[in-house]
Amino acid sequence: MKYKNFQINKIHDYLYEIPASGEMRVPGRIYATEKMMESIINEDESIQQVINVAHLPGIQKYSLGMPDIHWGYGFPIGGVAATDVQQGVISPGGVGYDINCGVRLAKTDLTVEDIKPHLQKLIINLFGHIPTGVGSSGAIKKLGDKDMNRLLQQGMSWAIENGFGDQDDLDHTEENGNLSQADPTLVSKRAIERGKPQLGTLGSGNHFLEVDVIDTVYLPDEAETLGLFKNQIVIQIHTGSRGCGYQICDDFLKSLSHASQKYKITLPDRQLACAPIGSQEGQDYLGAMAAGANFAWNNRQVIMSLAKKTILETLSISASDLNFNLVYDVCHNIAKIEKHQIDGKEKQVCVHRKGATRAFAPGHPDLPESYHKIGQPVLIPGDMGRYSFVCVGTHKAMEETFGSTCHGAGRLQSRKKAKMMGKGRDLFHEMKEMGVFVQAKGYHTVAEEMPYAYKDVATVTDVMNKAGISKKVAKLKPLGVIKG
Amino acid sequence: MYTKDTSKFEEIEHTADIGIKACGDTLPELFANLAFGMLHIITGTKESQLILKRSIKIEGPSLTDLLVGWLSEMNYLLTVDHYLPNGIEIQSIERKQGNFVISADLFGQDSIPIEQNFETEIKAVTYHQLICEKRETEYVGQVIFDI
Repeated sequence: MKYKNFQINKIHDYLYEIPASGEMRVPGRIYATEKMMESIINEDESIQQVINVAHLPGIQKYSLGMPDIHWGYGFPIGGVAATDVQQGVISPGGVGYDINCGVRLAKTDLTVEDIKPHLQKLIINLFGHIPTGVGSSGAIKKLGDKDMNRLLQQGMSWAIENGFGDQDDLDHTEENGNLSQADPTLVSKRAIERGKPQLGTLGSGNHFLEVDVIDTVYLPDEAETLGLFKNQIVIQIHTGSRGCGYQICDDFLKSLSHASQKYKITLPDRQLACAPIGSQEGQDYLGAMAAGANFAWNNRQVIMSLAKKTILETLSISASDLNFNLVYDVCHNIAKIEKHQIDGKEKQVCVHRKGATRAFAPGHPDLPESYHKIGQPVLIPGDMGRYSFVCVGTHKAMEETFGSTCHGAGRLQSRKKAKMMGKGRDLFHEMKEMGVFVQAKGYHTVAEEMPYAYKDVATVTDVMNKAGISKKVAKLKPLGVIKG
Repeated sequence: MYTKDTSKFEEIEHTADIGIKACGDTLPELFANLAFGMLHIITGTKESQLILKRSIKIEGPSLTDLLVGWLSEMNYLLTVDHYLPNGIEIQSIERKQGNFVISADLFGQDSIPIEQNFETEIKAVTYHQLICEKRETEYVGQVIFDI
């Protein structure tokens, strides 16, 4: 297989490699089937972006692409790159604008039969209580400077201290909901002002809250450990750091663009702007990005708490009957300092995951004790009409992908094309016919997010399952969705 | 004063995102048309009254940096203050000590009810495929937004 002047070699049925050439410091590797590779090559410039990332100083082993890879700013979305903490760089382009965009899954003791008679009312009430849409605000009282500062600094424990959850939620969140490098003094006033009114809001685009049912269980033991069973009602929340994170990224793209020149780093694309991790500029970005990540965890926690309250009120049941608990919360836009085995030695690296999910193996010390045996839960949302997947990380992920896997479906149609396709139709009715009750701020959001606008997430998840990187545990089907 | 004229900008497709293409007889007209194009993506046909003037001054090391800064400022005013300008008066775009500087007065309205009227959230103005240049007799610009 060829891409421009680059040779692409097949390693096995689900993995392709672009050998290092020219100024590339490492090879590029993409997890995909042959058919997927062909469409990735023809679709956009994402393979070129995998090659570009391979130029970054200090990059280790491979510049990686997941099967849901598509074009992004600088790094591709579905890209993973680990850089040496001593010799390497950190790049905001490897994280994205929506810092710590991520997914959480909460379980209940309810079954599909329990919820069916109340479903429409529940979705309407969730839509009423959880602000969605452009610049949405007002979920809770607007944060003051002191609270904003504290939540950026201490992470999700702020939400717990303020009555939006309990210790169990912290235990079931990646990094326990706190990146310790967070330094609010590095966050601009603009980022703070954009974030303050937006805590507890979903935003727009592909962000959502879904009421799902467990449709299929693939691995019964793992599902049992996660507390999941067939026909069970679960809640999925997908959102990130809102305006706070967007502004942090924007601010640091500028300052790191200067830093790339200052440290004489030659880049094939200016959107890969970066700085040595140990430099002042690199450390400043790391501190601000970590604060943005902490905002996102608090955001998802507050939304989950609002969802719990709404379910209890709508169904008139007790908290013990609902038994609402967090299964896990993962980030899929982040850069983190982690330890990985490289050439037989443990090394500290900065793992950039942009549109990629951490997928740590069983026994990893960063996992909650209850999940030690099965590995880290991985949440892979699909489009709003079909299905999403719960998987677990593997030892192979630790060996091959710095403990990372895919994150979602990826778009098939541009937003404009999807909007055109939705004209003159009753999409809310079409979704209802598919068995999904949708509430959304704007008709055009629904048009942009229709299932036909997305690729099939099952094919993406299957590649990583067959490559042995993340194992499928359960399939979720949506019953109701709220969107921006 | 420049006002919104939907014939002077065009929405362009970009995979998961959206962009704007515009032109102008002068550089200030191009900047104004690109701003109205971006605001149109966010707010659709919503219009504000010309009751509140805001004076802004933005700097950037290059013309493209200036354009990104200019549009980012409008996006910020819109998301934080819900300030929607409907008229733009650009006093100057000039070069000062190696930097490009734009000075302008915006005329619009604060506290536009965002939830009911706004269509698309723009996370950021990007440098991807960014164009801001003079071609023969007119100025041409293109901007892609992360949404």
